[in-house]
Amino acid sequence: MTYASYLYFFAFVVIVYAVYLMVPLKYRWLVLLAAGYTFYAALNGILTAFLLVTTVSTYLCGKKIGSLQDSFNAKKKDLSKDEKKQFKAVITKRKKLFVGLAVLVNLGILVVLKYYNFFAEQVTSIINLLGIDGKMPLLKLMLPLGISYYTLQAIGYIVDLYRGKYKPEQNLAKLALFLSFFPQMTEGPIGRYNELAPQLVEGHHYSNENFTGGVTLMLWGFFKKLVISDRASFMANSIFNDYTSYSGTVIVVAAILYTIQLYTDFSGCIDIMSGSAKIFGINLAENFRQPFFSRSVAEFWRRWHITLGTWFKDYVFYPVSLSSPFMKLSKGAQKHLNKFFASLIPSAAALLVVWMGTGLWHGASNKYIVYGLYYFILILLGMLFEPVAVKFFEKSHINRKGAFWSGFSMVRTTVLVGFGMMLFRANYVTDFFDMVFRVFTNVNFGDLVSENMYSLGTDKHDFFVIIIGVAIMFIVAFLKEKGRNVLKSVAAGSIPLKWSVMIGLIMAIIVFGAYGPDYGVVDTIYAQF
Amino acid sequence: MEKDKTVNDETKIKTPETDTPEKTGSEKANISEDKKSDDKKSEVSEDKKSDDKKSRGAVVWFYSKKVIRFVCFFSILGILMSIFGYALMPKNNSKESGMPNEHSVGFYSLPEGSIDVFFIGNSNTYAAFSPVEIWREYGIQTYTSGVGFETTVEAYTMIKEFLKYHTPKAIVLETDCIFASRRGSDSLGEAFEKLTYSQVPLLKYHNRWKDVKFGDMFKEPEYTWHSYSHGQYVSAEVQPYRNPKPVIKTDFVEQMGPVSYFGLTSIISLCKEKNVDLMFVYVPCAKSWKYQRHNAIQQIADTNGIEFIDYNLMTDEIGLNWLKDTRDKGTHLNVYGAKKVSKNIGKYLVDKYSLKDLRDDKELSELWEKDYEQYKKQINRTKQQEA
Amino acid sequence: MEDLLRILNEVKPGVDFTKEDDLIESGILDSLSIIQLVTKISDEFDVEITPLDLVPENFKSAETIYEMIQNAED
Repeated sequence: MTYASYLYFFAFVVIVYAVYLMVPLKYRWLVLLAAGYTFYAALNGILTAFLLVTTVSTYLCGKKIGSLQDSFNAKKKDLSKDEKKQFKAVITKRKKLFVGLAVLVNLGILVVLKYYNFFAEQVTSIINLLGIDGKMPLLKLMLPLGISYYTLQAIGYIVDLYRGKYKPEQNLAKLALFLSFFPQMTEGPIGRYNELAPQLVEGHHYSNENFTGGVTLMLWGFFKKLVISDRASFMANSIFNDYTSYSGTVIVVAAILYTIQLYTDFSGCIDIMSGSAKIFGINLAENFRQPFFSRSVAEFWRRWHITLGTWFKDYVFYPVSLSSPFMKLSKGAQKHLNKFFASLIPSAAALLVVWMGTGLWHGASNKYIVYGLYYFILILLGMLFEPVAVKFFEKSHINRKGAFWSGFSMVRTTVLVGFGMMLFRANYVTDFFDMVFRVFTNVNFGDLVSENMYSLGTDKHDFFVIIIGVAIMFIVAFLKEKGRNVLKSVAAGSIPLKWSVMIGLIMAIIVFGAYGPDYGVVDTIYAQF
Repeated sequence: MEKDKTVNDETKIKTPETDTPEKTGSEKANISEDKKSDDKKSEVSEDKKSDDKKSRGAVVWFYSKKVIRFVCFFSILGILMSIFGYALMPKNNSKESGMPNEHSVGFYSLPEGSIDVFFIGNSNTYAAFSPVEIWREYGIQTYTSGVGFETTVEAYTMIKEFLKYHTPKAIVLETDCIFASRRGSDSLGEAFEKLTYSQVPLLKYHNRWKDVKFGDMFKEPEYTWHSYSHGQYVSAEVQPYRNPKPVIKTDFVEQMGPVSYFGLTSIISLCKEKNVDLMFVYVPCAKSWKYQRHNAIQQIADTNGIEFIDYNLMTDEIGLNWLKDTRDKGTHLNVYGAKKVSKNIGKYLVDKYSLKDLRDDKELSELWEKDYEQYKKQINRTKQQEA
Repeated sequence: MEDLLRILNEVKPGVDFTKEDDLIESGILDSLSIIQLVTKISDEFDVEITPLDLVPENFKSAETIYEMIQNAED
């Protein structure tokens, strides 16, 4: 994307909003639907067909599940308890059929488009290993934009219907809007039908607070992306792509820069998108909650990419843990093992499924599988050592919730996450291990002050801007952690305050943005997933 | 009828606006009530008067206030952007003062009105037209302004800028830039970006905060830097282009990108308006020239009565040797190729516009001679580099 | 209720579950301990707890967990 595309997006939002306000309240959601498809088709062309397939299949299966549920509800009063149970089993079986169908179609599209080539490569290498000369053909597949996000939304919707959480959407267009609301088409957040759809369909009036709040949030996102993220990316790229030329100390700097880059890129884009939705009076799900204030890796994942984590929790972790094979496993474990391990094993097994899924969601490669396993192992270790930790705190009289220990835990979590980021960014898994080895064996602090360090695309001035930018972000995050939402207060504040913040942000973005001929163009990272 | 409807809608729009104070007040106790702007309160009171006409007046007032606020906001932003833009603008046309593509704007420091012919285009231009050689051959003063990957829109802006300082007999547009689209840069985005870049100094020079000196910020710009080659990129490097493809005539016409076309028509009307002769030249370019492109330009040239010389069809006539006259295997000419093109175009220009030979002017000759010395030095330097 | 409190103390020792009124927000229960809890509950009370029951509101306090169990028994 060039910087112009951000301006376009802004202009697009403004135009859509103007049209939105001109249309009677009742029909305003249609403007959003039209905007969503215009936006999507403009970026994706013919691949929009996949979105349509998902929408229609989800709609039909959802409706069917709903009518099955209705027929059960209508009849259940007249039945005796046993009959009811029997009838329920029949209905559940048929409901399962349609859930299965919807999941198969939608997950099928995603899996084939995203993972076929990876799978084919693996098969080929296994065949070759067995001494058979053969090859599974690789296909040139195009991945529709945002497919990893809207597919999860569709599956969540269908599964919730199966669970009877809510009634199916009877209007195809309204369901289509839920799956195509333009701010979340590129990078999420992954919305829930019961939270998002009513907001989308309901017409919203103009409100000063929503408008300025949305615009300020968008500017804040642009600031993160253009001023900090893109600037950090240049040096991170040059080091990661050629890490063998640098000492471990420089690699640590690159890992820090990449962590900054990824966080500001992803959360910045989410801010831009949430801000644009906010203008329309629509609140998107929260995707980040100051993740770098987490005291454990598990907590980090409850604060980072929240909508993905909760999606996996609700639609993978819980159903897998509560499924009959896992229940059997846990009962078996209780018979043969001591209490502690018995309670651990089923959750651990379910966690493994979740983390493999999370890893693979990011992309089809060994690297992402290892990435998932990395966090699985860290969280598992946390669980294993929990009893030890409890004893330790009892005996040592260290206050586990005190400032000192919290601070230490935050730093420790950030370091662990930093290594995760290194793996996430490494070109190959082997590179990652090599880099970790270098970090611990090849220490050279002299590199931090060498001129060479600042000739890698991010010079001293750039570092200065990154540091100031991160400091501002830290203050804002810290205040939010303490319960004060700075951006919201600004939007609700007086005109001089609002204007100076908005104009200040715009000027900072224009002057300090890493755009133009001196910088390359940096694509957003999470749009590729 | 329709008007009434919108007004109704507008009154509806107003409702949430009026209840924001209470909502925000309870939501954010930390913001004191008195901080809220008074106008919001007055809106509330106005709303209470249920008189139809008055509420209509209130709606008008509500919207005009919005508009006034918008105008104020953007005026403040605009003023700040101009101030910052001025502060960061290069205060000279040299590379050291931060001027990008300084050779394309070396004409700033030449005496006003001294240039007879202006060559403009992308990198082909600065590789192929040699004002120094043209002077030595014909005694006429020309300038070459090329920027890599220049689009017609940028060329338009540059011509406009040039015409502020000089009154040339002819402007020669090197036409390779029309087909920039084939390299993926004829998107609206690119065009928009380049247009805003050239029009808004703060965008163009924003990154100079890194090295601007405080004392230079509010100085008057003074363009004193002189381009010895008058814009030409002087390189004697040779990377032969072997086995040139034969030229095959076709009637196909390549489609121009919409933005390129827009820029091109703007250039044509600008030249008409300023009464300057425009001509098209396609310099030898083995990599991007195609007969379809020739046809497309010829079409435009014919409909607008513009002269078009295509050196790609005249390589034999000017004696171009692809083994010796290119510095990068056929994409750009080197000084040897440039000399051949320049001699030919120079003669054409002298004949057509009966331009006066100024080599008798002693003062002028001396200046050009100095430039020629440097030009020769650069040729030797690049020759050595190659060796 | 007493059975429930016993189970809760097995899963998370050292917490006074009669007093806590927001187990999720305070971070005492996370998704892992919820699963441990639910496995035990469905074992001891012989009820079927579905993923749909696993919402924060049901795990706010011992009280709400108990309510959930009773609902599941019907």
